[in-house]
Amino acid sequence: MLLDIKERTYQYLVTEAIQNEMARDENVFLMGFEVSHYKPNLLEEFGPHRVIDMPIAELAVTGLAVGAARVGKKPIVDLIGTSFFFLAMDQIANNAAATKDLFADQLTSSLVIRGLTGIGEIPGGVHHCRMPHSIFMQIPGLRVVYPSCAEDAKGLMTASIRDPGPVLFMEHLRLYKSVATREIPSFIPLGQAVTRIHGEDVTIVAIGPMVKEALTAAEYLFNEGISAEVIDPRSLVPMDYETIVNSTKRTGTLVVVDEAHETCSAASQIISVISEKLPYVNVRKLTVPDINIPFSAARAWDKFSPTAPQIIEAVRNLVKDK
Amino acid sequence: MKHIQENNRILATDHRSRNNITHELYRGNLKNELMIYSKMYLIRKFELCVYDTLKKDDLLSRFVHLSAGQESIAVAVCEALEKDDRIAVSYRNHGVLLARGAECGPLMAEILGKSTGYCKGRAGSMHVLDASLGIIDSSAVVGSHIPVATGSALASWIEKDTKVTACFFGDGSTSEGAFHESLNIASLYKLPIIYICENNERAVRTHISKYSSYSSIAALGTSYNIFSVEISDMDIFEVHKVVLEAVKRARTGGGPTLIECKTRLLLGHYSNSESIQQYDNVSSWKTDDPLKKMRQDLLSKGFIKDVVRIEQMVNQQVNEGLEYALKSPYPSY
Repeated sequence: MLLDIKERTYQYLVTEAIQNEMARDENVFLMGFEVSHYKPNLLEEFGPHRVIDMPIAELAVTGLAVGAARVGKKPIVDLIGTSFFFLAMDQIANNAAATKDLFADQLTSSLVIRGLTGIGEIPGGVHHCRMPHSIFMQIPGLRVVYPSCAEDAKGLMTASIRDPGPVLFMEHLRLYKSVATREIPSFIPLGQAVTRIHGEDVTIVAIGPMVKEALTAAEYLFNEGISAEVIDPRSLVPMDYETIVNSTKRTGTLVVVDEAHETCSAASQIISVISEKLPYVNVRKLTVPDINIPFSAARAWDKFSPTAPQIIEAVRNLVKDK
Repeated sequence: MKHIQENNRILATDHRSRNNITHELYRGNLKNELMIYSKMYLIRKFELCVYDTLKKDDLLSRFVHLSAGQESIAVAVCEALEKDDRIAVSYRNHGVLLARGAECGPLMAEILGKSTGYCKGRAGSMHVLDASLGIIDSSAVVGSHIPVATGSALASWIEKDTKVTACFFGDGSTSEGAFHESLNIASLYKLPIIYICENNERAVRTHISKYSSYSSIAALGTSYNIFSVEISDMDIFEVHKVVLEAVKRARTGGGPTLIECKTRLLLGHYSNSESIQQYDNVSSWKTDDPLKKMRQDLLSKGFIKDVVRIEQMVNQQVNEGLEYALKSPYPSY
């Protein structure tokens, strides 16, 4: 379907991926609060037995998805926001994540749970500024996927739906309306990072919306004679540590940028793994402070989230010390 | 809206038309009565065997929850289901598994954590299941399997396959949000599910009057517009009749049923001796035992030879299962 370029947003492309997979595999179905309201309208195309509106009951809705997946269906659960994943924690951690191992491979859990994450342009207060991807990384059995741009959203959602699962699909608030301008891959395998820019002086691993900040920073740094390599992991579990290690071996310096609270962040994890493998590299992480993000009608999101100027400053200091 | 009207359509006119097998049980039919007795006795004998075996292992018995006293519910339900119907259970699962057709050997092996168990020793008593018997969950978190069971029913609703899901849980589960959320959704979409509450009036050690503001669990179901029934488990034929109606309701698009079945635990919450001792002091149900009653009925009708024959067979079956489990190795991790 030909679309005006202004309409090929992250949101639209994720919906398109879901639409394609539902057409391709009759076991795939969509469930969640107001999923019948998606544009394009999937209810019209697939009917009420595949696009199933649910009440606001995140715990039971996720549990229903687990049960349906155990008998061979492939549900996509829209929990609207990652904040609401917490309501479903028992079903995510104790059931979905445990299915394969607890029952010794008798049952599967091919489900995808999607939700909006991160700090919005207007930070909406604590309940709307959750960045819990690292919390879910720590639960064995879960896959965590975090697209950084509209171009990747479709390929990663497609891979998530086809994955044996369960997959948590993180959709960042500030990326949601961004438009795809580059080529759109139809399938991006999980566990495969991509190097957005090649460089020799510093490795910058950036997660989700931080990729854009890192690329901006890389441009400025290049003009100062510092060539930065920017890596986008795309999925956090499984994580492509190999690509990060190989890059850091060359550059000797690692900066990880993660819009998430500092303590036990994905950035902490990456730094820790690379430091053990390469003990002599200089490391630095840029994260959100460990505070409850306040509501900000003044749009002060950049007071809490790492930005390009901070990345530039951090890299300058690290390279200076080399 | 169109999709709400579609939910009310009739899927099949006769619950037997799927396989043309009647699941009716007749009181007074000797074959039925002996079959029922042997299944209930199997569960009782197995549970007593587990209790005896774990007497010296207080640490392991903490993870074991016996069904002794609740046998008639498991047998009544399983006798009403088809092979391709589905079941979800809580950690008090041995009775349901045996009634559904699990074998003593791999079941005992799983309870003892041996590699020859149904889940290769990785699940233990609380999570043991055999997916080929249609069991899709066995949960240790109270009430956690209720949404999962509801999801299995959702899948049947999507596929229009007339399969039914039976979900067993205790009265303690009814204070969990997951219970209420699931019933709401099941009722909304008229999902083909039977919720069976084995009400032994205890959540672990606490009496229902101390943890709940409600005295009737069936009444909770009616607030969600679910057909709800309260019965005693003393007469298995009565229980079975109610379950058959619920199965028919589910298969023909009539939606969920909530069956509150009053029962009792004869061997406490956990399988350890402390729990059983504590329980003895508060239990008023000790003299009511559906299995004992059935045995007395059969004896009074003069069928002592059949009863003894059944018991000998079952005793051997259970002992062989125990031997198999004891001989099996632990998994290597």
